[in-house]
Amino acid sequence: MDYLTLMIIFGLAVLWELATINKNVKKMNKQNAELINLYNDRSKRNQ
Amino acid sequence: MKKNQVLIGALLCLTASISWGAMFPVAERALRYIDPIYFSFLRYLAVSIILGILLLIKEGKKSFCLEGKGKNLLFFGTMAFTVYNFLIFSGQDLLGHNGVIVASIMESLMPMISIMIMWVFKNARPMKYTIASMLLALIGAILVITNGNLSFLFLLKDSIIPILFILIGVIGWVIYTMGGNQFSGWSTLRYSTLTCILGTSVSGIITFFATVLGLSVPTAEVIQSIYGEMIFMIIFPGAIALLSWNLGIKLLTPINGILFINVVPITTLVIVFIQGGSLSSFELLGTFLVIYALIQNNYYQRKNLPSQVEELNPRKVKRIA
Repeated sequence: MDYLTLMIIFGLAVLWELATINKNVKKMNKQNAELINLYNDRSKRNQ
Repeated sequence: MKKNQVLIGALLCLTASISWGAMFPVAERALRYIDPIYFSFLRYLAVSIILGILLLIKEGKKSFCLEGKGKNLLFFGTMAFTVYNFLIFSGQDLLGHNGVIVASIMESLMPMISIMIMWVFKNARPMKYTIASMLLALIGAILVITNGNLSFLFLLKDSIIPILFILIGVIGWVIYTMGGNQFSGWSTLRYSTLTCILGTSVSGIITFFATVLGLSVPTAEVIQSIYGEMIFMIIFPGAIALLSWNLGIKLLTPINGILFINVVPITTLVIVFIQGGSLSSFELLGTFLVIYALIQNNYYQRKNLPSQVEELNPRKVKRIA
């Protein structure tokens, strides 16, 4: 296997992994937004 | 911020910066055989296909829906994938070997350029320390561009066009990065893919007209001779760096992530050195000044951060009330 084929396989594997992280980050941002909303609601109620 | 999140974010930003730093020396070899316009268009055509397939698998058909934001996506895509790519590689090609380091140093000036854009268009005057850092970075960039020979400034008429090309190209990328804020509800992959497809379509139209006007189409032999460089440019600085940078910035926050842009000129200098190219002391000093200015600005930003956060602290607001 030449180095170019290796580069293609490695590159595509990294891209696949990045697309998975992308999904997790999207989920994390959604959760963070929900937490901030909860915090804001609680602060309002305490006031 | 979780430890794991910091580590992954740092790795992503590092991957993107090293890829971008390696991009210019690799492109230099490819540009000896192919025109910058065809080089950029073919490269992003492949990136669009790869990202399109990934988006389809990971987020489904509905993620290709533009949701009435087509005009904005087209504008930002054109800025990044047409303006940036056509102009930065045309500028690098016109400048010859010096273009490698000039393009790389301009890339590392992106944070400073974004501050300038905010100042000019949004009237957001930067702090004094930021202005000082910007001037220092500018001195560093001038040292690299002129190679310490200030008489070069008077002979700029030969190089002003390529330097302007590179500068406008970098401004295009800065505008694209800033545009990402308008799509905060979208995933990084979705924003990157849709802008890439639309921007590359514009590049395709320009390439078509350029060909009609006389630009020669690269032959199979030419493509064969730059096959390795093209594969590298498509996978690493094209697709991987685009996704890693945007994801890394999301994980680390911009104030931390932006520091990794310093790795771009360092990587370029290391590769030029390994390739046996000569590096003058002025190029090294100029690069050091740009990196120092970025770190200095970041340090003062952090120092000022607690007071800004304190002002936004709801407990403090409550106490005042």
